[in-house]
Amino acid sequence: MRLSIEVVDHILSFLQSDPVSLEACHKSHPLLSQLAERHQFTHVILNDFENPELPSEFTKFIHRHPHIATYVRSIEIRVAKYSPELSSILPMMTLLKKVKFNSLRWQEIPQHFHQAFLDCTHLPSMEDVSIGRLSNFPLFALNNIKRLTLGQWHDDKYPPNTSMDDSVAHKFQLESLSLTDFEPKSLQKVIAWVPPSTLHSLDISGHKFPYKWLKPLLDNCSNSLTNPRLNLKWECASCLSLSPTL
Amino acid sequence: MPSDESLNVGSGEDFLFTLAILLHLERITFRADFFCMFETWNGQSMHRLYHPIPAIKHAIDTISSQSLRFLKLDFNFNIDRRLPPAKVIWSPLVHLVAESPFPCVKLHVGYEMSGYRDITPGIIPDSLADSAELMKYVNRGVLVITLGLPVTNKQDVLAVEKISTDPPI
Repeated sequence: MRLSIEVVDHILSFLQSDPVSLEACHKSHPLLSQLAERHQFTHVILNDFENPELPSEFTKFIHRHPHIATYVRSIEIRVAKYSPELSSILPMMTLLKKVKFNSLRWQEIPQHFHQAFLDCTHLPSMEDVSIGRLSNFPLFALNNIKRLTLGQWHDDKYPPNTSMDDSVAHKFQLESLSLTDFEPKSLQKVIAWVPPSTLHSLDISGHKFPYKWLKPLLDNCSNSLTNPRLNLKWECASCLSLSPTL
Repeated sequence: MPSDESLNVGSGEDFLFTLAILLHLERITFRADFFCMFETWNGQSMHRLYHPIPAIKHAIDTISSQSLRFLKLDFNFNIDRRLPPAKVIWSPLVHLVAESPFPCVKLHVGYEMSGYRDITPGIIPDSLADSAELMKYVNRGVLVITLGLPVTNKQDVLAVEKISTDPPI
């Protein structure tokens, strides 16, 4: 019995988290090789903390095999060095659905990466953007994102970023927002930015969330919010004391 | 019977938020930890159950939306000793389900076991099943319970592995 290419492709999609098996498929047969290659690069993590050479090797690889860039559906970027080469591969990933970006200070990242990153968040295929540990990010540049995760944001000695032209601000489309571990100052900025009419889903997690800001956050999206998800911290626990003889 | 129940362990005022302003609320999820501990305080040993149900109750009592679909409770239990009787331990949850304005309550229970090794993986499912009142709501379709896989404290696992690999005396 022969399986259709679509069925084989679907079966291989379950191996996306198993690079060893995908590599074995890639080497086993020309047809499987083509199909497996697509799934090998569906999810890409560029982390130069674990492997300093990885981003550079990956960008060279993509420039040698540009068709691979169109296989990438999600990318996580966690790097210390933002080379022009790294910025140059982002526009090649034209079918990206998810981008996760972890860094420290937006204003210390080169302009070429600013533009490449923001352009990729505005791709028609983009469904989910996650930005962690980043201070002074221009939130209005994310207005057209539908699903957004912001984690571990903090303000620092730097003033808010005002260098970006407000004309890049898009019409609000935000439907789902996840917030993790915010400092109060950063949260105030998010509350001021959150659209009052489009947000349906709000997820609050982490152990540092300043809950006294929950009310203004809920107030801001009270007309649209249908599905809040809240972590209750230890401090909200009540204690039930029971005799051991029970 | 419970000997006392204070409202909050910490500075809980921040958690007493209202949901009345959410006019189109359909569903809400609360994620929280439950701690069931055996503690000695002033020479007296007690089971203590730290749980968020009064804070949740306070919040859902303020709901004004007419479009409610379900309440989801995602609880993670930390257990270091055998549990008190089901009737006692699940009593706050029974009251929450009974008084909830939601037509359906979905309860997901994850649990971590530490301390005594005579705690079996079935400790939570068995205790839930022993609560006739909770099962009444399950049978009526009001309460839907799902269970996560139990997680055992890593140190305990290592200790057990060490025992099992030690040569016989």
